[in-house]
Amino acid sequence: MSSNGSPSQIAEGTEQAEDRQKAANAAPQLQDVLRHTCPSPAGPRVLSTFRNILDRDSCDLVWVTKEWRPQQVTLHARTRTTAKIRQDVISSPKMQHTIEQQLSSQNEVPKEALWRELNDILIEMGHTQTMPVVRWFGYVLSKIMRKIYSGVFVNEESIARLRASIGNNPVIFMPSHRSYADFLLMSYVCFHYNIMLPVIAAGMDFVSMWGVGRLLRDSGAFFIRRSFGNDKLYWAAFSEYVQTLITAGENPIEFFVEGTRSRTAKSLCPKLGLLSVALEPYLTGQVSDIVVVPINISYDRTLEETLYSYELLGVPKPKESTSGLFKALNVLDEQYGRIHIDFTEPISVNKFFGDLRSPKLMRPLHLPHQITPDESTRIIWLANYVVRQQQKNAVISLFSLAAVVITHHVLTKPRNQLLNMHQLTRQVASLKSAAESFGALIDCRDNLEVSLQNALHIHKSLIVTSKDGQVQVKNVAAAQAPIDPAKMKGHSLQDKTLQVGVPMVMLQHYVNQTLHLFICPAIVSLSVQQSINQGSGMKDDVFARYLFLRTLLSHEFILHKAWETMDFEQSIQQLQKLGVLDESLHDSMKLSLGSNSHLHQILCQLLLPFLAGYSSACSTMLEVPAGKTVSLNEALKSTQARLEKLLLSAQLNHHYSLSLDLLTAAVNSLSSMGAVIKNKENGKVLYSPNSNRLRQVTQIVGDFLQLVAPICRKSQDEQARLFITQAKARL
Amino acid sequence: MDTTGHGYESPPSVMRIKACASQEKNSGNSIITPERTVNTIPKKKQTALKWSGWGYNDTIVVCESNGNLYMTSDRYPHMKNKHVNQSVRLWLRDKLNMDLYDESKMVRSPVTPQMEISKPIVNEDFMKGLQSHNISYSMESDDRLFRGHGHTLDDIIHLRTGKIERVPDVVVWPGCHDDVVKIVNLATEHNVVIIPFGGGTNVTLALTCDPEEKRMIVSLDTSQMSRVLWVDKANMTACCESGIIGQDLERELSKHGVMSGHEPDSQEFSSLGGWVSTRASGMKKNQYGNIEDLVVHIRFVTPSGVMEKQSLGPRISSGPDFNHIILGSEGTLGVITEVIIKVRPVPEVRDFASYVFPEFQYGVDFMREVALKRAQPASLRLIDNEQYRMGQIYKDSLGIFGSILDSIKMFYLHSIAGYAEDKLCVVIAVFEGDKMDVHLQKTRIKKMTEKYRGLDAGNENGKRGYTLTFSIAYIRDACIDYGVLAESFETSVPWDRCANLCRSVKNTISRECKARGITHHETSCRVTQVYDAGACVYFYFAFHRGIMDFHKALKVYDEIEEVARDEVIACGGNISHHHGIGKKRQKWLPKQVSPLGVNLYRAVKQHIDPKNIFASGNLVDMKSSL
Repeated sequence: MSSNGSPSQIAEGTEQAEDRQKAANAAPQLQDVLRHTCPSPAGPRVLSTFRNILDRDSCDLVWVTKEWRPQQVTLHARTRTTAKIRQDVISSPKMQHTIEQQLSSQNEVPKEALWRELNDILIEMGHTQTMPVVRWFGYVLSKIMRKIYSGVFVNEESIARLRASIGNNPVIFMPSHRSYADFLLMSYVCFHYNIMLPVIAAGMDFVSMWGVGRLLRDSGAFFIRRSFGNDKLYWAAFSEYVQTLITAGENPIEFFVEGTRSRTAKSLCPKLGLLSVALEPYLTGQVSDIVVVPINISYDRTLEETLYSYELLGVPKPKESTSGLFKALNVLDEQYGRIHIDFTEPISVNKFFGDLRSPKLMRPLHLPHQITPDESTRIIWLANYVVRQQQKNAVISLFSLAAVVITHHVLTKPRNQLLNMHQLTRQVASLKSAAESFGALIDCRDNLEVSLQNALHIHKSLIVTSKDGQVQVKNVAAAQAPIDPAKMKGHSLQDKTLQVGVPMVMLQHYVNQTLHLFICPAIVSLSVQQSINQGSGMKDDVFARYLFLRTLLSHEFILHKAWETMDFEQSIQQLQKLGVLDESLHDSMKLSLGSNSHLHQILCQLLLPFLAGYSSACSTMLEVPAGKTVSLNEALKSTQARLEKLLLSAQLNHHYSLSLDLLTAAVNSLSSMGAVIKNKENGKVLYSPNSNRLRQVTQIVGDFLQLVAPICRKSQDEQARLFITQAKARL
Repeated sequence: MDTTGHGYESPPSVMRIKACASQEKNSGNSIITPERTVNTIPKKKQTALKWSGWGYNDTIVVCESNGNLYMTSDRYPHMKNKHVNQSVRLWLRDKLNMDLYDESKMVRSPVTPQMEISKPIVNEDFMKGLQSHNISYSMESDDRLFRGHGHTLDDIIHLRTGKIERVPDVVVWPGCHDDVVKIVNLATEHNVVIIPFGGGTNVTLALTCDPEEKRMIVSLDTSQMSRVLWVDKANMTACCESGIIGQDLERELSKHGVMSGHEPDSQEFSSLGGWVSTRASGMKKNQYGNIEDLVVHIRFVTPSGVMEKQSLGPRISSGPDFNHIILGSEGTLGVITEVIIKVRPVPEVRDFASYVFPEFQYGVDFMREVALKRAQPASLRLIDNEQYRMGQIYKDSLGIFGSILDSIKMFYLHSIAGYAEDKLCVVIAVFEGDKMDVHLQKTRIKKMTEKYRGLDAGNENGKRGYTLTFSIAYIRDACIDYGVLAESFETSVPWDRCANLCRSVKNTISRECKARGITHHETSCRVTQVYDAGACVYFYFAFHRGIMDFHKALKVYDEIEEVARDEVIACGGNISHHHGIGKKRQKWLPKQVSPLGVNLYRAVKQHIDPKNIFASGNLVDMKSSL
């Protein structure tokens, strides 16, 4: 190991150490709670409980016009009109207090103006769910979905479980967010199963789309501005709106805890704002419990796959517009495979939190509620738990596994050694059994070969299989309008970089779908290898290295601190079972590598784009002269530039390192590790290096990268061009 | 040992009355020497009252196989000629597995106690002292047993199943304040335990004796101290001995044209002293006040002397009000012997009203509005849907014309006004005062109901609803006969948390029942009191014990009630509005009043009663520190 300090010391800035201590203190109790809240499911999840809801007895027209008698969320709920909800918000004691006592007197704004403004805000925000629109929309959706999807599969066991746990308390649906389609799917499923339709928190971007905003509103969406900083009136209106929906309990509330669509197909770190607001009625004892239902929506193929790739590389996202939507309708000519939806075990917030209501009872309800540190710890925990539940209940498509194998092949094998179908099937099979031992449910209905071919067929725009069974990546750099360099969000990448980069990032999109399974084992594998290389292999030493990587990647993956020991132990067990680690337990404190070096390689190599990207981000930040600062955007740009140079000079061969999401996470991670210092100046966030610590971190990341890189650097000169050659061959 | 004292064997001794009377004269408290009150309930209570259940021996609830429901005496005129119709029967069978048409399912309590009562522990010196003071007492088993329990569900089940571990060793009947002083002094001198006994109607296990108590336990029955010593119409106050029970008090006061207006559900049997020592609340508190509002002066006998204020003025600022140490002391500090209370003229008119609301929330909103406008009539209660439906068992048996009229009414309610039978709730109001007042109040209330979609349901329903209160405890006993365990518990809660509390407690109980595999259960609630700042909520929880034996079922009941109480507190309610703590709710006391509060009580107890003579063990378990 480097002489600059042990990885675990580096991982922890002082504040991190405190945080960890806090988490550790809370941990034993919460561990209990967790065990309590999530009884292990009766058996392993199986595909047979998923039913295709497009495959129904009645025709679409009969289906959308069926009698609507949904299962109520709470029995005491009274159905309110849009105007009544607005009225309730306006007349709520909290709103009265905010306007009359706080805003008006502090800012010397006339009350009437504030009330008018409030009314406008609420009109802009409010949903107007109307059944005729929902039915009509449902009809159109049915038609579209039949055309592009081969099935929408819903876990009916989970529906039964959901039904059993609603009726008494407000319900929050928290689906994973990978696509715009998520918005519509949840309501569609609820309509199908006669569950009260959710009211959905949506970003303001839709409102400006002619017709679409209205349509979504009528289907039950309400709109929240993306950022409203210090606008106290907006904040109060928004939280009161959400809370009246919770306390009245007429509809389930639906929002995406990840905050936005994940362009990377990995789960995003959960956002806490809306969740905290939604939980406030529970924390203040206005409702006795809230039922949180994490939901996983897994797509075989994401509608926005190409768009995301461009976006991640820095090509700007077109502003949402209706004409854009129509243009995007050409997606309708393609096939997108299956969708799997799983409502996971409903979480009782009261049980999860261990009843936190009592201390708040001495405060009247209209005073603003300050979230205590204890509550905040638990909310963070809950948010992370929700995302993990979403991940655990994913259905992994075979194509994702194939993407792992193909990427691995492209990166590690010389150009003339193409992957054939036979090899692919074999490797996917072994990866599948590994994934299954990590708890994955793989969408494989027929025998593997047929299923794999079907899966590849759906992605034929990205992967082609030649007649002689050779599997190759296609260059999908579609005929986009020429990109104006000035509009690039990051560094203005060269055309040839984009040509390889876009399909590579698209492929990684599907690799990413599997990473929640592999990330901990991968980190452990790499840590074990490094520890052994350095002559140790002791469990403590491995754990220290594991902690460093985990902390480093904590903005990239859902790696909540409280789970670090649990994850470590589980990963070791699983890796031993798979033969990646030696199972012979002559010394339980010493770890050594096992016979399955191929899986070990694959696992370690999964970390490559991340380590490479992070390493470059470190280097970039190191170059910032002492006393100077850079904005996030500048940091991203120069890191991308640096990475592009590395790619062109064949020192690096994974274009996913260029991803702006990845690099942003890197900067954030460096900042929370104390290697980079975050300053706010005039409302702008600026970063400066904390040289000593940054040097240490850079060194350690570099050491890890060294370990991963040789695996894939077989013929350096051609590596970078290998992919292009392959791709061009098919163009 | 002669287990028969000379109490009720010999007629009340004239000598003793004189002795008492003369002492009263000396103490200057009485202007005239009043006659002894004729007590409705005899000294040997079990000759008139049930030994193992609520109320009079001659009064039980009977439901015949044709659905006719009645009570076996004429004491409750409104309970005549009732008919349980099929829909109510089926509803009850569905909810509680209780078929009212099938009397064979009933297991009535045995008529006389079936258990062995252990021999009394006797402190000879104390007994000698008692005899020398010529104070009436008894050591008979049935007297002792009657004073060893209240009306908590646990008490009743234990009586029925013969599981009573310890009862008082002797029952003494002091005749006046001075007798009490003598008894307390004797007990202090000889280290004997005193448990004051009023009406024995508590539901907090307050009279349950500690099986570990090795000292002699004296039950000090105040029932023979039941005189109204004087009525002062100039100041509208009355001085009464503490043992007088509610119905006797009103009867005696009415001879003077006044009334106390204090009317708890137990009014027929509970005593003035009991009300003071438990901080009781009456149905008509809106007009007359709770017990703490009624009390002007208290005489309180403790092991360290007699405590009383030297003033009849309406208010004193002299440091903390020590009356509030006596109020709610639950017999742990001393004996209340005499109380001066406020009285009111007997009202010219009493009127009733009832209103139907489409949903519980509307009813709560209406009650809140009434409180806000301070327009509350003497009594105002909101009855939830479950209780409304339960109340349907009291429907009068109607002739053909009546039934048609009834079904027309129901048709209007459900089909035209759009009130769902499984959602509507009812408000019952009692108005008292002179004619014009009552008319005004009624008009005002009517107006407010309209704002919350309330419909007038007539004063007859109101009257029935109000008087039925007194028969609820009889029904509880009948439920036990059917294998259904039922009990009430109450709380008070701020307005804005009221509806959620009602809902959540019901949900919690339903969840807990489900978790325990209980298939037949029902929880209902009523908002029984309105205050400026909140309301009193009363829950009734009942379940069918199924295959469980009574002890197991009782244990389950207590577990569920405990969870429900936790939920009450978590929803912003508190540990009790008027039932008190006893031994049943001690667990929550430190949280409710803070540990410092408990220590303050302990310090008072330590000072007033260092030998723990008043060792009923209520409020705080003194054994843990003494």
